[in-house]
Amino acid sequence: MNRKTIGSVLLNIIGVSVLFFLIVAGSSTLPHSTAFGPYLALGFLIIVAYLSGILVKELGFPALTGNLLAGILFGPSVFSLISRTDIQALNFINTIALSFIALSAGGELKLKSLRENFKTISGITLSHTILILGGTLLVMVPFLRTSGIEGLSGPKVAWMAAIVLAVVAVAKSPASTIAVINEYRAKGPFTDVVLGVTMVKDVVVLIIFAVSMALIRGIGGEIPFSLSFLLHTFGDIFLSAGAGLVYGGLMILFYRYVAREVTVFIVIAAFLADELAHFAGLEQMLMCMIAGFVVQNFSRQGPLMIEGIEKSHLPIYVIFFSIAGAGLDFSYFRTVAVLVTLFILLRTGLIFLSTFAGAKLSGASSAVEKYAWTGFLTNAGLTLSIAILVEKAFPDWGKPLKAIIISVIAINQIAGPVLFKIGLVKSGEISG
Amino acid sequence: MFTRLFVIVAVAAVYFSVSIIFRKRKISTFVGMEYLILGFLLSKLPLGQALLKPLLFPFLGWIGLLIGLEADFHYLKEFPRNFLLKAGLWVTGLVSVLALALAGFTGQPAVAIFAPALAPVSFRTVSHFIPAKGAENRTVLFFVSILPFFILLLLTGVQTLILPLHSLVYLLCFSTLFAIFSRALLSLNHNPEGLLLVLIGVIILLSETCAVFGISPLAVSFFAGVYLANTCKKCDPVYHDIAADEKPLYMLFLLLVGMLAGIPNRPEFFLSALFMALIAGILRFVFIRIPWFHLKDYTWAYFMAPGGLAVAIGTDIWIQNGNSLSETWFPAFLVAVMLLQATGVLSGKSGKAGDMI
Repeated sequence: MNRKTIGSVLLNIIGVSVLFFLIVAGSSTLPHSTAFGPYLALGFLIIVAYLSGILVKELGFPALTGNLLAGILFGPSVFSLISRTDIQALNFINTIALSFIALSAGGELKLKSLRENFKTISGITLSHTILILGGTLLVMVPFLRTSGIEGLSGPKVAWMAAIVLAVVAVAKSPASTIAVINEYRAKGPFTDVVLGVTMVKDVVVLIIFAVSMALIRGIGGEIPFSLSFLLHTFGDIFLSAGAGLVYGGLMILFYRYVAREVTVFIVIAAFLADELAHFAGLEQMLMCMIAGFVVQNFSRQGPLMIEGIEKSHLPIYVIFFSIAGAGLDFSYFRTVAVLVTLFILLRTGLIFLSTFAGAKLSGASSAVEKYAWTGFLTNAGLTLSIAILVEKAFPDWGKPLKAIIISVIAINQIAGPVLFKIGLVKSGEISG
Repeated sequence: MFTRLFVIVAVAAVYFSVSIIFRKRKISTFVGMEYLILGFLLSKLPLGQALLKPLLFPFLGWIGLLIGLEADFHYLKEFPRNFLLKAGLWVTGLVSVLALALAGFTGQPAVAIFAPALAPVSFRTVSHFIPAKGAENRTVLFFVSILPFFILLLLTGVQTLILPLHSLVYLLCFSTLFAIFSRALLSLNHNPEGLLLVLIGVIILLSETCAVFGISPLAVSFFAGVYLANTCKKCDPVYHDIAADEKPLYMLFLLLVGMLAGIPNRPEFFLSALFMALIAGILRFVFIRIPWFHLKDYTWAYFMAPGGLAVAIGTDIWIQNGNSLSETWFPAFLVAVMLLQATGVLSGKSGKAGDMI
């Protein structure tokens, strides 16, 4: 820890915050007051998030925790220097960044290491799915029924809400995992296993969520359990995977025949993938992960793609995580604190147990057995999408449930990367 | 949604194909204006152009900072005072005559404000035709390289005369504040990626502040750049970081400018563009004949191309004075720049490039 660096970074953060405050305050005195747009907030957020990243890194934490904290501090939750409207306006950047992160995740995963770790990856994924789903249902159903939380304690609703929470417990944030791996340039079997499980679990969660929604509709008595709904969801997943294969193929063609300005290309590719996925109603993360995986493993151009990603990943991560941090809403936390705390503790315990069991049964190394669970704690985009979809489909109980899920995301998003960094250090794949 | 998808595909295709085509045809100096044309074409699509306008400011901030960072006083001191004085007089003379001609012939004094934007000479084009060998060639290249510095000084000077007092105060305050703040920020130990990120943040913050306060992002960032160039030890890596991404950033900037300006469906628009190009072309030709800096020893065509900087200065003028101008003049100015650029590059190519007349 370098005290001089910490001091000068802190001074700079204070300086830029004062400058930004003066700009905002000064703009209200203008004769023809011009409303400052989201880009002004973006400029400020980039600087403070980056500086906070340096600061927390000096203290031994991953930079993305600093980016998130800067977003939380200067966003609407604490100092309100950046408004919720600005954050909403900037969210389009995050969807593009998500494509970039997914391309990066696919690109980091090598077929060789997948083959080598196949048993461990499938073992952990399976045990996560069974133990976390089962364990969460077992604890949350009786708890919700007796909790007296408005809108969630009815007998049927408690079941439906518990099913959603069980899916949320299985889900994780690939973005945070990839960001920590990229930041510390972690490499090795431990990293490969975490990355592999992360990628496979993304698909598994989509399937579980589809099945759960069909089940919930059946329990609620709105629509009987329908096979066509499930088939439709599976169709979407296959289509997204197919689109990822084709997109990866097109990227290979670019790298083979043009192979210029790879940094610009990867940003354009992420932007285009995001638009394509929205246009065709495809699963963006899955499509991009597969595209990145195809380029890395079915062509010789993988290193070119990684070069482009490495050159541009810092700005993208800083912007992504600071906007994500500013978007986190802690206002509901007080009202649902007990439930949120219980759920987080339960989820962490179940992740630890299921990872240990899956690793043990598949004969993984002791580092994976002991520390791989640290890589599966973060929740982010996918979890939030689940909450939003549930709220849309079942507004009566979906709304309070969304408040709980958002608080869970907020806490896991801060604690997860820190624990994962510790896990990487303990596994010996990065230095402390 | 489909329109947006189409635009991204079109931009990506043009970005990667144009440079390959032009590189094979060896007319790389022309690259740039085709993005403006693509922007004009895309302006016909419903893309919510009004929402894109705030994006212009960071590009202008970046261009201003880039030019400011080149203005190292140690480098400028290498020139004889006489040389700098002549260069200053040349620019002031050309801009003044251009302003008078534009205002006089169009009958609209407001159009004269585009005069500084029609004065730059593209360094890239000139250096393409004139190799940096021999004392005379170097004098010409030195002259062209310091032109932007004088033009921006003049532009700021003109703005101080026409800006309301409060805007002038903001201009001075923010130029100083951002200069000092950028220096403090850059003095931290950054890795190359971090340095670039800090620059992106500073440029966005600075230029959007200018947008809020109605002052020129080009001028404020230019002064911040000059301050950094002469006080900050990390000026060199900063300059290289910004200059490294020049091509994609200019491409996006020109595309955006074309999309926002659009082509008005009025017959007088083409006449206005031709008229502007003609006035600027004739006056530039006259000023090239002035026996300073050995300009007249070379074919006139080499100095006709105004380059991307002209578009940047014109855009800076437009975003600040757009309300006092009719819709026709800014697109007409852009077409005039394109005509001058095409005339300069194509005539230079068809002539004996590099040969003395």
